[in-house]
Amino acid sequence: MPGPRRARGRARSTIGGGLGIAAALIIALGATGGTYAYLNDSTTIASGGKVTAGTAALSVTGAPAAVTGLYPGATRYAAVTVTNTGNVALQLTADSLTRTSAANTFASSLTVGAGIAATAAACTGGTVTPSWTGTFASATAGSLGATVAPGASVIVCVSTAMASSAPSSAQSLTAAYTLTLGGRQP
Amino acid sequence: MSRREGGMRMRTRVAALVGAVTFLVLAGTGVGYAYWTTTSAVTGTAGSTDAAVTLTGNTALTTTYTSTSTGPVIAPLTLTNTGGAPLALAVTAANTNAALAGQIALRYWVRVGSNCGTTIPTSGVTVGTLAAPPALPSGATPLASGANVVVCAATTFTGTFASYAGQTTTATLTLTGTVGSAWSATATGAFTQNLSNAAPAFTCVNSTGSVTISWANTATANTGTIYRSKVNGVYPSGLADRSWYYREFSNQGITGTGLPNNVAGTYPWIIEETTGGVTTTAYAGQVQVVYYAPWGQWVLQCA
Repeated sequence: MPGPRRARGRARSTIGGGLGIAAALIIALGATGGTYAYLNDSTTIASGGKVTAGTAALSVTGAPAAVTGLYPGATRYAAVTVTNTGNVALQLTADSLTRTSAANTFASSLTVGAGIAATAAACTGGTVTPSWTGTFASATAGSLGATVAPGASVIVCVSTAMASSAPSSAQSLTAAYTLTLGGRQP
Repeated sequence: MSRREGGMRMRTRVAALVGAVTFLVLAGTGVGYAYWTTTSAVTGTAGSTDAAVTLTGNTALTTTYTSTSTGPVIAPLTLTNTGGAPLALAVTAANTNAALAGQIALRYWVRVGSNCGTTIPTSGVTVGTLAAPPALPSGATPLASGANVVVCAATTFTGTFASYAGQTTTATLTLTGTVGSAWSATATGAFTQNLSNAAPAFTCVNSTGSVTISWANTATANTGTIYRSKVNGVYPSGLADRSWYYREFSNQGITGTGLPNNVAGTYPWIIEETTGGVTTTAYAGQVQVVYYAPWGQWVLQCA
């Protein structure tokens, strides 16, 4: 059996290690600025209850967002429906824009946008101002300004605009792309 | 240092190391661990259309002006946007005889109704020349995809006839449709306008039951030149062609389908001159058709 002095030493080292881990957690979590605090909620779990982790998931219907007949200065619109199929509310973002077809002068003249539409008709009618735009050369992630509750859907209006300065060689061409939408817990 | 103290220091170091590693791992992962995130892809396709136009009706402006008939020559030009984009339209012209083209007025107006009529309206008309065509009138541009507009064009020789007699110009109209700063489409259509040779002095003399019209040869007439007479659009069989040597027409009576037989009146009379395969109107006047009782025939008399 260890003596009192040895026991105090072990106690100090144990406390020291624990404090080190705790301090590291506090500092690391504080530095991240994360929203872990928003996940907090409380309820009484009856004996035998269990805790299930939440899920974040989005699904898209209505794609591809296909438009035709573009000419210099023209904008065409297509509506897709985005559904929150997880169990936490999600803020919608446009994360990236990637051309999936061969490069051509038509694709280079396009600006793709996304915004939330009240109805599909409002979208195709051209009354929706995109809250995010990007080109195949430059697309910075940004918010679409909408939070979707679990099980709920929103209409995302995808706009495709052709620059007035599009060259003559951009006639009768096509382009394909992928617009990546993100969902992030508020 | 005792063995016990050495062990304590070792455990302290291990604890500090565990703390540091924990910190680095958590900090190094970034903020994502604290969020629920997901992504979903929206695929999209886009297609561009084209710009295209057509121009028709231009050949109806082909004409020969005479000293007594200088226009207007009126014809419908049909401008069609056959592409998929709305277009701003403009018409330019290139001429083989710029001087003559500058003496031929060109007017445009948008057709109302089913034809352009025979007179130039008093409003809604743009005015220029073949050398410097006018702008298209309001209502003709811009033109929606798939649409067409009929623009009436009228040409009139406005110069001094003798100064341009015998000259020809071929005007090539170019219809250009544009959208944006770089898309354009063009269509062309040509027509030729001539001035007849300087009209010789025609003399009409009534004879008993007939008429004789005589003239001097034009500057271009030669031994191969033929003159033909046309009354009310028909070559009367009773009026034989004349060579440059016999510079007169006379008749005893008139026959022929389409002639104003049996109907007294004053009718157009044209004398055509054909030299080297080129036919021009040498004279355009009028002649009377009357009934000459002693012969029981309808005959011509000077108008």
